[in-house]
Formats: sequence, structure tokens, C-alpha cells
Amino acid sequence: MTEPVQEKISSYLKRQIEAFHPAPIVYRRGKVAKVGDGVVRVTDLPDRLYGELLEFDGGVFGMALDLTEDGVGAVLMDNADAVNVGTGVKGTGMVAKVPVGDILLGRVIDPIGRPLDGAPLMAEDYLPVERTAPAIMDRRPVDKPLETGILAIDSMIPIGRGQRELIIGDRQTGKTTIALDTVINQKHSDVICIYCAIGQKASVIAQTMNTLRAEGAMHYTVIVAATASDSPAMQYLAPYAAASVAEGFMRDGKDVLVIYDDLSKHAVAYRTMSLLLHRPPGREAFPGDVFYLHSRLLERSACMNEENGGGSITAIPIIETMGGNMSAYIPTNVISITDGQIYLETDLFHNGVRPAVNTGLSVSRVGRAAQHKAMRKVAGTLRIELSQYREMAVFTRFGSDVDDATKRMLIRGHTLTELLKQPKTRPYTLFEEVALLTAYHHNIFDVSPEDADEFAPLLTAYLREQCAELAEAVNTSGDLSEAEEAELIRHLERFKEMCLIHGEHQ
Amino acid sequence: MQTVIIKTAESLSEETYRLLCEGFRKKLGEADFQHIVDPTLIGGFIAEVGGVVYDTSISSQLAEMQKRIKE
Repeated sequence: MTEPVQEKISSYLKRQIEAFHPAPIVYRRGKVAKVGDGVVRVTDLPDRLYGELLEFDGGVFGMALDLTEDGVGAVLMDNADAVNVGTGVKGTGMVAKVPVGDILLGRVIDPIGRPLDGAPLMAEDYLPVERTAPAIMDRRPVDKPLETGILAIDSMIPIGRGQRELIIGDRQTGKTTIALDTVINQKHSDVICIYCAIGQKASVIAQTMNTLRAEGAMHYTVIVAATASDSPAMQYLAPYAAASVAEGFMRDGKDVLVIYDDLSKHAVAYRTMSLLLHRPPGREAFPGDVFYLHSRLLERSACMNEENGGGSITAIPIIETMGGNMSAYIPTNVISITDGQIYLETDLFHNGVRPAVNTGLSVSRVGRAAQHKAMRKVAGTLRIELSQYREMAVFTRFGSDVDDATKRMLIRGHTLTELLKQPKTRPYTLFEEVALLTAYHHNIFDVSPEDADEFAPLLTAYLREQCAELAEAVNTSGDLSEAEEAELIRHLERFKEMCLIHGEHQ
Repeated sequence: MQTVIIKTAESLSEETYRLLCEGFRKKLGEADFQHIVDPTLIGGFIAEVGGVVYDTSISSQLAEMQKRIKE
């Protein structure tokens, strides 16, 4: 039935044409004097703005980052093939902007808002990519927890909404896994997630999108991506674009989580751009303002007070270290900016401790203020017990005789270490975490400590069957009353008996 | 003294050209004028002075319309 369709199309076109009002177009024009290495020198362009988006003939965009008496140095944001000496340049009069709003949910975009997932994007609302952070008096202290669903983190290094918590470690230690598991866990909450991929392979970003989709997390997530083959200018803008997208949600009072994966590649892209613009190199060839590069980005995470919407942006930046060196230039910069770090160690990872969190060196400077009451009750002593265990653990290697108290501590430390192991994409609910820690405190796992990591899923499955109502109550209230605690312990004891009986039969 | 480059689709009558130049003189003060005929404009004019372009050509308006409809 082509006839009606043709009529529809022609009437649509007629309406569009009638709605069009011709008006004179006024713009500023210059021309390219020099091209090289992704940096273009433009002359004869009047009234330049710093950071302005320039449009080259052929549709290529660039950003004006170097204003001098006799011209503008612009960094190209796309492929340089179409740009030659003499190519015309139009001043758009705008700085880089990114679309914001609910239409972005479930989409993958690049730092200037062009969709990367095949479908068009009908954007209506935009925010500039560079914005000032919220003022001091517009903020309130962090007081609500952001649940990662990862027992090791929620118990000892808790993250609050509005905090900046760094994930730092060598390559292949599980940094992105922790970040993605946190995103997946937000399907039980109202937090909107933004994943910013900087300088990653396109195949890895596609993989991430598929994982999120498979786990049902894509409908509340936006991915802002600048792949490894994108220009340094795009990689430089990506985290700021992600922050603007987050701010678009925060001003509507929502809680947002932004993951910057990773800021090491971001610093390298900025260094590339600065060296090509002939800015003087400093330590490790980074430009002098590489600290400001990250501090202004992370300051945009905030917890707003009621008068300003009550929303929040939690930032989880990721930094990759070389050889475990946390004292290198960029790592120390970002550590001093964030409100704590989660330090992942290669040795722990290879010894089967996953997530490979070094609880001694990891810290959350917001801490217990951002923890549910129920969790606070059971997690208070964990850090001390673990650090005492680590001190004494060396004795187990030599098989030396130890007194009963020390033996006790070693068994409990071993149990706790096993309990903190968790498979990926399997986040725990608050109730499950509280139940596991209560079981630990009441020695439910002392049957065989080295199997504690196998018992954990069995226990959670058992509790899911037996205590659905109790779980619902604890998850909603965030607290564990004495009556609820007693009921939980009864279930745990029953579980222990079942395991003992089962074990005897084997 | 600024140079204004005026491009039109067809050659203009003396009267029309004088009016156009007057308009620009009012805006910019003293100026030199150059006239180029470029049929690809279809109609209207494009005036360029000191890096600023005033575009009222029909070809550009058609391009704008096309861009708008594509979205």
C-alpha cells in the first residue's frame, strides 16, 4: 500500500517547508593556514571565543584552545582528511555542549552528543560541557549510602551519595568489574548511572553495553564514550560531558552515579593535546595544569541541599597504576582530590581473593555516616579483626604452635577473608550482607572456615527462600531491630544444623 | 577602509547595486566594494567583510531547510 505512505510523506514535507522561515544567516569566517597532527591553525577569524566549537568545511569540528594575536589554534575533534590549507572555517559561537535529560537513558553517545548506537537522538535540552561546580553553601554533608552490593566495600569502605571514591590498582585487578557491579546493583534503587569510557577499545565498550543490557541495567544507564581511536580532544572532553549529563539529572533532584573509566588515559590524552599545542611540559611531560584537569572535574560531584533540589552526584574515578606504584604523579594527584580510595592488589587477585581489595590501604573518608544502621551494627569490628589476622597470619606458614586465643583469631580471620570473596555480577542486597556478617559474628561458618566462600551462596539462597518477609523489612528500613536480629539468628542456626547433618552423611 | 565582497546570482541593475552598497556604508562607514557573479547562489546575496559573512542566498536557505527536515 504505497499510495497512502507517499501521501503521508509529501504532506509531512509540505508542512515542514511551510514551517520554515527564511532568515539571513550571519556567521564569522576564517581560513586554515596550517594543519598538522590534529592541530589546525586558523587565521582571519574575528571575535574568537576560548573553547569555541569551529566548523570546518566538510562538517569536521574542532575546538579553539589556543588564542593568539595572529590566529587560533584548534584541536580537531574528528578525522583530519577533509581539512587542508585554505579550507574555510565557520565560527559557531558556541562552546561544546552535550544533550541532557531522560531521552539519554539507555543510549550510548559521544562527548558532543552524537549517538553511537545506531538510532537518532532527539535532543531538546543541552548543557555546556565545562561548568562551574556547585557553590559551598548549596551543598549538604553526605548522609545516604550508595550500595555497591559488594560485601567487602559496603562493610569496610562504605560509599555515600555525593562522595568521590577512587578505585586504584594495576591492570587486570578488577577495577572496572567493581564499578560495573555497582551499576548493576542500582537496579534496586533510584540511582541513575553514567558510565564514561575514555580511550577504551570499541570492542570493550560494546562488551560493557552488552553486559549491562543482559543484567537489566541499561534502562537507567547512559554511556558516554570516547574510544582509543577518537581524537585526543574527544577523549579530553568525555568526562566533562559525562559530568554535564549527570548535572542535568541532579538539578531535577535525582541521585546520580558517574564512573570515569579511566582518568589515567584521560591525563594522557590531555598531555598529547597540550604538547601538540606547544604548551610547556612539566613532570612526566604532563602540562602544569593536570591537577586542575581532574580537580575541576571531581568538584562537580556534590550532595545538594534541599533548596537546590536535594539531588547528588557520586563519582567513582578509576586510575591505573604501574607496578603498584601509588606514589606516581597522576595517582597521588587524584588520591588527594577524592574522598577515599579502594586499593586493588595484583597479589591478592592471583591468590584468589576477589574482589582484590587491600582493606588496610583502602579508606572511605565519609565512612560510617554513609552506612545503613543495620550494617553499622555488624561491620564495626571487621577492619581491626582483619588487620590483626594479617599480622598473625605469617605464623600459619611455619606451622608454629600458637596459643588458643591466637588460633581462634586465625580461624576467624581466615573465615572472614573467605566470606569477603564474591563472584562478579552477583551483588548482595543489604539484608544478605547483614545476614552474612551476623553469621560470621555468631560463628556459623566455623564448621569449616576454608569453605566459607562456598557456604555464602548456599546461605543466601536458603535465606531467600525462608526469610523473604524479613529481607523485605530490613532492606526497606535499613535497620535490624532486636526482634529481627533474633529471628535471623534462629534461621542461621537452623542452616548450620542442616549443614552439619549434610556433612555427616557425606 | 574595509573591503566588502558581494556575491550575487545574476548581475544587478545599477540602482539595486547602489542601494546595497549604501546599506553597507551606513553600517560600516567608508568601504570598498567588489562584486562577483556566482549563479550557484540561485538568488539573494552573500556579503563578506572583515571575516564576517552575511548570507541571504537561496542556496544556503535550501541547505538549511534540508538539514532541518533531515532531523
